[in-house]
Amino acid sequence: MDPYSKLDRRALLKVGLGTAALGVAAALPGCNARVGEGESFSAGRVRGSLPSREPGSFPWRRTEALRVPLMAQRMIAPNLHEATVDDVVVRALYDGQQLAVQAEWADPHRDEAESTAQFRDSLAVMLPLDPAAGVPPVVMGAAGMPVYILHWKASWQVDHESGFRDVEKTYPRWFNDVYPGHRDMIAKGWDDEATHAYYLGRAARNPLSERDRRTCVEELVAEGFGTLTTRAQQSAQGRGVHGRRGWRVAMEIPPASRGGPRLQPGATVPIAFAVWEGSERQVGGRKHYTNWVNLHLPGDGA
Amino acid sequence: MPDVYNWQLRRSMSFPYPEVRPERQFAMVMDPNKCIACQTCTVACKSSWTAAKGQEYMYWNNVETKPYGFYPTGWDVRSLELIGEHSWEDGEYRGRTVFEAAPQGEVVAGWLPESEAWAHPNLGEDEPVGVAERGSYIPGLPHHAMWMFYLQRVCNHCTYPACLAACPRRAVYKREDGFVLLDQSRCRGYRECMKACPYKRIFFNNSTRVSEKCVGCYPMLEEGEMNRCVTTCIGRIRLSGFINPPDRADPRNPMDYLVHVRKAVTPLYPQFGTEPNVYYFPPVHVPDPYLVQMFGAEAPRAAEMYRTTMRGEDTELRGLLLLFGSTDRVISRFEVRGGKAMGYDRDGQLLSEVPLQEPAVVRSAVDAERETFRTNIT
Repeated sequence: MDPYSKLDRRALLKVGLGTAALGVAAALPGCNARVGEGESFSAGRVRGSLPSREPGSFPWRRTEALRVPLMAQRMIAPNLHEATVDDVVVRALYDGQQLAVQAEWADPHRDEAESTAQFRDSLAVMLPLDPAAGVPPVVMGAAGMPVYILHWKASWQVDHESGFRDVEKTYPRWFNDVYPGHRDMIAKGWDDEATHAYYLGRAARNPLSERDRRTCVEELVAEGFGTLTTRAQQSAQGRGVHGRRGWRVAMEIPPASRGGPRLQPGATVPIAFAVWEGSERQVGGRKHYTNWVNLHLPGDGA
Repeated sequence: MPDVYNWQLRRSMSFPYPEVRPERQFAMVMDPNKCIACQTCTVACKSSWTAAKGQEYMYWNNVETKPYGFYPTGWDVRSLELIGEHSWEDGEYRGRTVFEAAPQGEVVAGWLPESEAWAHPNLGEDEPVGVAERGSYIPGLPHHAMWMFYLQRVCNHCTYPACLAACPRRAVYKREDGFVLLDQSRCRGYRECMKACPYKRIFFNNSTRVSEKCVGCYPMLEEGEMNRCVTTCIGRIRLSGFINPPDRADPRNPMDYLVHVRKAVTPLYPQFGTEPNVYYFPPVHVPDPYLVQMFGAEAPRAAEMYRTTMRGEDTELRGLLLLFGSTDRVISRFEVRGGKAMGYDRDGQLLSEVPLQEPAVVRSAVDAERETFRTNIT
């Protein structure tokens, strides 16, 4: 057999598969722009409001997209032993002051519940808190090199949009006779001190235990694994949409004046992403993450 | 991983943190031989700590029938499977602990029960091993052909807690008095602790979405009172207090006396390697292989000691057993003399005094004065 003809067939196969992949990408609603490969991408310039709650809307469709490979986190225990998502397609929009990002990844299951053995789907976006001070390690920063993290949670989105998903929604056949102090709870509300005696997470002001969600995105800082800390100021917004192929999530990164990272027009900033698939019980360190990729922000004149 | 010494295994083992023993270690002793599974302890605990929304199937204290009862389903057999085959040689453990059996990329060999596994706390209740043949009745003493027993379970407040080792947030911590607690403000609901604990004593609150666990009634112990599950026990089968490591054992401290001096009580599944601090008088009618599997190599000998005590041949141990349930306060020191057992608090204050033999009057069957027979109706 002529070895060259074999190579030719392989090359043809690759081209064919690549074309098919592009065809699939094009078939995703709103996925019109070409999806690039590499280590950098540019934010599209937006005049007017950022579509951070409209993933897949027109401004997103016409901006540059980058396909970034995801890796299973195996640097520190507990590990994600096997990656279940290959990559994430990311886009960014910038209005000269504020940045918004969109990420989409394949996930056939919509995991919005959190209970004893149910885990939520999540997405994280990470930037250096001060991009001018250098690039922190991709492992959630290091001591003295803090990173800023936005964490979108499918469960929080349900809480935010449809009211807190409590026991009766997670377990529809749930039944209980009576809870102590429940009448007081109804009369005085969940934020009453007497109520907190029975709800320790709320008494401790743990943001995960809050009933009154104002956003589905949590703002955090970290200086390495295990140091993740919720910021006192919370103003980030976002929204995710689940389709046949997976999630498409958009988030807005607040400006430095509201506690976000310092971003300058025309600058290039490192940005990284992490994805959790709830149906696979991925949570915490059991995650997919990307390496840093470079995001070019349009200059003032753009 | 650093090596730490686990006296229950009589060997060193690997653990993610260096060996640091607390000043005092909270401990509890249970006597399954006297338990009737009335669940008063369970209700006392539930109404004290876990009665709210999101805690519907959360029992920090439970009593299950062994060998077929489980809460959550299959908890101990699944954990035993993970450490694999093991044995004891001259009291030394030959096998892997949950830390040593951890696969690459894990801190602890663990598993997370499904939601349904927590929904049947009474699974296997009163289910015995063996079949009752026609005409059979308790044959083959001391080990019955049919047997079961009630196992009382709370958090073991382990010296080497698997939950603490596995938490990447360091939200689980051990206090100076040995209580293992979970910081409700640091927890992010990862459930690594639930997965890691071989005893499955960490629970997820479905309303606050963070994990919770038995707090050992530490606010009561701080005030010198014993736990709710201890003081409400109608069978008087429990005692709680503080234990010292074996090299600092105080023979007048009830915990040290039972665990270190007399070795009358044994830990639950010591082979997991967490050095649990809840101890059990092994049930005396259970076959030795099962006792060894559940309570370690010392269990058959401890069961024999219990039988001796019940025959009245061991005054001091019997005296201490009589102090169980005689006071709500923590007994720091005890003594048996003059036909009485006495318990004292940390300041030497007498808490309780019980006779080894209750005064009894034997009446004749005939009341000569009234010219009638007496009927024993009580």
